[in-house]
Amino acid sequence: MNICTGSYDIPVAYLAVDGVYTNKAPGGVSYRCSFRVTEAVYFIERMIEVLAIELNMDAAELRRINFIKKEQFPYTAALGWEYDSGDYHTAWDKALKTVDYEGLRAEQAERVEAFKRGETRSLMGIGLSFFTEIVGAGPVKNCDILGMGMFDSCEIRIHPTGSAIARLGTISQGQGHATTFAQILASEIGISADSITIEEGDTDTAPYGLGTYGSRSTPVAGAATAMAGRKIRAKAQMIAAYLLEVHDNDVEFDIDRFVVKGAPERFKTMKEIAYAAYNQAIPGLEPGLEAVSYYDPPNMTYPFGAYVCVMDIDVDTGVPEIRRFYALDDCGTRINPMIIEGQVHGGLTEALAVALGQEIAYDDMGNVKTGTLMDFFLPTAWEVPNYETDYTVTPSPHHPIGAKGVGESPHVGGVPCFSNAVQDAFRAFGLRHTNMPHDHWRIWQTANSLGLHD
Amino acid sequence: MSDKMHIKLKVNGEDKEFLAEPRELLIFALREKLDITGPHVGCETSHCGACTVIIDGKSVKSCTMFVGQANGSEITTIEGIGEPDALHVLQESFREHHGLQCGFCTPGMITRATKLLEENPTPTEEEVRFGMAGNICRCTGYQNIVKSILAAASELNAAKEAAQ
Amino acid sequence: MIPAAFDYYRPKTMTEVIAILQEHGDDARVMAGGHSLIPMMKLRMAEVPHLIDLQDIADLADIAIEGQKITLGAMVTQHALIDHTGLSSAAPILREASLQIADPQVRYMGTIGGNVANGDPGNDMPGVMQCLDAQINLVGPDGSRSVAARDYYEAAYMTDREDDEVLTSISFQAPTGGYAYEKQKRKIGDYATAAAAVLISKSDGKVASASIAMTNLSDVPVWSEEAGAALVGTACDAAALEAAVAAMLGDIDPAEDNRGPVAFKRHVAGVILKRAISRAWDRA
Repeated sequence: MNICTGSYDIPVAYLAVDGVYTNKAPGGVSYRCSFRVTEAVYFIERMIEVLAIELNMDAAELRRINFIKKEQFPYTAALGWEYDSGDYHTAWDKALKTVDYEGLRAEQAERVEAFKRGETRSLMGIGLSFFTEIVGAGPVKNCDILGMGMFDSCEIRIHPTGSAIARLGTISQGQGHATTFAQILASEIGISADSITIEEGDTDTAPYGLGTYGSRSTPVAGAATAMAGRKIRAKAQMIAAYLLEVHDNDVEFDIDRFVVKGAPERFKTMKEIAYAAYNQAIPGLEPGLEAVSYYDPPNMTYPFGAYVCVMDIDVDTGVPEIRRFYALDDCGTRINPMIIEGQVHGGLTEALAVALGQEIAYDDMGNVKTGTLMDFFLPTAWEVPNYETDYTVTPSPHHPIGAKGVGESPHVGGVPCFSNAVQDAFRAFGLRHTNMPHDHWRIWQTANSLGLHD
Repeated sequence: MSDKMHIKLKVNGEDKEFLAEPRELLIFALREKLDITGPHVGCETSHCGACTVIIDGKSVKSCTMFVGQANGSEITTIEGIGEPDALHVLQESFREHHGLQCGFCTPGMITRATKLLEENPTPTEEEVRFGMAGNICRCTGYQNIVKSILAAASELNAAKEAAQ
Repeated sequence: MIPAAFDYYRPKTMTEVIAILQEHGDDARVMAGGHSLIPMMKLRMAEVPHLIDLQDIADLADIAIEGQKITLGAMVTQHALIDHTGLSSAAPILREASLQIADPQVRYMGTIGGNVANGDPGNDMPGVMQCLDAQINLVGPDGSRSVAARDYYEAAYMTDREDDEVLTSISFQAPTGGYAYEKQKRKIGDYATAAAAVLISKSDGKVASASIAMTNLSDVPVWSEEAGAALVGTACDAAALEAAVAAMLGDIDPAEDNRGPVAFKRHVAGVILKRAISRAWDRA
C-alpha cells in the first residue's frame, strides 16, 4: 500500500493500514498484483476522482497538474520508494488525444441533457486511470522472502556449433519467456533466437532463482540474461581479436559478428567464434564459451500507463456495456510487442472481472455463495471488448536493456479504470463513491439511490 | 458398484474398446483409459470448455457426458485435429497470432473453433465471440483467440477458393 | 466430482423405458442430454441408481411441422431448434430463446424435453411453452396424456408428471404475429435475472391477442394472463405497457439470490417485459 501516492507529486503522506486476518476474504484473487499495487492504485485513482468532484474540476486535468514531472525522476515518493523513471505527461496527453477526450466529454454532457429531457435511459461513463507500477523485486538490500534475497539468474552455454542454451531461475506459465529471453540474448550475443534454447523450471539444472511472479521475470531474470550475455560477448571479443590478429580494442560487435574497426571486410561471426572457443588453443584463455549471472537489481522498475474506458450504462437494468477501452502502457524497452499486448489483454480482462462482478460472497453462516462459475464472474469472449493498445517508451535507467515488467500493469490500471467508468457515469447526478463489484444490481442500486428511477 | 460396461469408441479415427463403469465421465475415460490427454479437466461443471471434444459432429463438454452415453460414437479430440509436424490451420493461426499463453484452454478452444468454422465458415468477430462463449480463458483476454480464428477462417476460405 | 454408481440403460423403445421406470420407481430416472441431471449427479445432489438414457428411442428427436401444428420431440436439442429453418420461420421465438440459453456446447446436448420437464425455475423453455400455450405430452404405464404447459408446473422441481411417466414431446400451434424473448443475465451461461416471453397478434392497429410469460421470477414459470389481457385492444402505448407490467408484477414472486434483491428483480422484470412487448409489437 505504501506505493499509494501513485503517479502524483505528493510531498507529504501518512498511511495507516488496518490488516484483517480472515478466512472470509471478500473477493479478488491473490495474483496479477491484486494483493498489492492494484489496491494502492485503486485507492489513489478513486481518491483523485473524488477530489475532482470536490474541486469541481475535470479529473483528467487534475491528474495532469499533479503528475510527477519528467525532470523530477528519479523521484523519491513521500512514502519512501525511489521511482526510477517516468514521463507521465507525454503518456497522458497521447492517451487523451487518441480517444478524443474532449469530444467524449462533450458527448457525455449531451447524453446527460438528453437523459434529463427523458430522451434516453442510458448514461455514459468515461473511466480514467493513470497508474505507476512497482515491479521487479528486488534489490537484496531491501527485498527478501523469509531471508532469501530476491536476485535472479541466468546461465548460458554456447555450443561449438553456434547454438546456445540458457537456463534461468524463473519459470514461464504462459508469459512467453522462451521467446522474450531468447530475443534478449539474441541481441546481446548475435546468435539468432531460433538457435537459442531457453530452459526453466528444472531445479536439477537451473541456476538458483526466486521464480516468476510480481512481474519480475524480465526486470530481474531478463537483466541476468543480458548481463550473462555480455560476459559471453566480452570473451568472444577476445577470441575474435586473436583470430583476426588485432588488439581486443580494435574489434567491435556488429549484430552477429566482431569486425575490425575501419575494415568491415575483416570479421569473425559468432558461429566461428563459438567453434574456435572450443577447438582452438587460444593463449591466455580457457576453452569454452559459458557465463552465468546472478543479478541483484539496484532498484525496482516503475512501469506506468494511461487507460481510458468508455462505457454506456443502462440505468434501468444496471447493465454496463464497454464501448471502448484504450490502454497505453509504458514498460520501458519493449522486447516483444505481441507478448506485451497479450499480457495487457489478459490483465485487462481480469480487471474487468474484478471491477464488474467478481466476488466471493458468504451467507450469514459463512458459506460461500459464489462457488460455481455461474455465480463467480469469469467473463467469456462475449462479455469482453476488443482492447486498443498503445505505448510510450521510457527505458529504465538501471536495467541493462531498459526493460520494465508488464504482466500485472493492466490489472493494476484496469480495475480503477473500469470502476471509474461506472462511477463517472453518475457524477452528474451526485455520486461520490460506490464500492466494487459493479454488478448489475449494484449499478441499478446506485441509480436508484440517486433517484434516477423516480 | 455397478457392472462395468464394454465401451466401443472411435477416437480420432481409431477403434478403441475398454471396460468402464457407466458413471465414468467421458473426459476421464479419454484421459485415463485411453491416454488421450489433450482434452483438459478444468471446472468439471460444464462452464469452462477445456474438455471440449467433437462427438458425432457435435461440440460437447466431455466432463458432462457419461462414457456409457458416448458408447458407439465417433470422437475427435485435439489430437485428431493436427499433428506436431502437420498443424491444422487453426493451430498454426493460434501460434502465429499469439492465441495462447499458458495453453490450458487451448485444446478446448481449437476443438470448439474447428466445429465453429464448420458451422459458419465466414464468421464475423461478433459471431466468433458468441460461438466461443462456452470456453473460458484466463490469460489472453480472448482478443488474440478471436483474431486467430478469424485469420484461420480467411485462410481456409482462400484455400477453398483456390481449389475450385 | 464422481457421481454415485448406477446401472445404465439405453433402451430402444418407450415400452422398455416405462418397464424400467415401473420396476425401480423412484430409483430410476430418464436422461435426455444430461446437462441438468449430470451436474446434479456429480455434486451428489441427485442419486440415480438406475439411469435410463433416451438417445436410442426412435423419433424423439423429430421436429414435425404439420400445417399449423408443431411437435417437438423431447430429444430435440437447443442447437437443433436454432438450426431448423422451417421451425425458425414457423415459431421464431424458439430460436430467439434458444440462442439465449447456456453456451454452444451445452446447446448441442441440452434438449427441449430436459429443459421443460424438470421444473427448474431457471430454465427458459418452460416460460416460452406457457407463452405458446403448448401441450406437454407424457407417456406412462397407462398410455399417453397431455397437460397444458400452463398447468404443468407445481413448484420448483415439482411438476404434474408422475415418476413413471416420460415427457415424449411438446406440441403447440404455430404462433402468429410478433414475438420476443428478452432475457437479462450476468454472462453467457447464466440463468435469467429476469426474462419475458411475449407473443402479440395485431389487427387494425390494435392488439388482437397477447400472451406473456416470465422466467426465473418465481419458483415456477409465470404465465400472466392479466398482463396479456391488459394489452388487448390497445396500440401498445405507454399506458398499456404500464398496465401489463403492473399485472405481471402481481403474478411474480422473485427471491433474492446472487443476481440481486427482490426490489431489483421486480424492477428489472418490468423493464424487460416492456422491451419484450415493444419488440413483439414492432414485429406484429
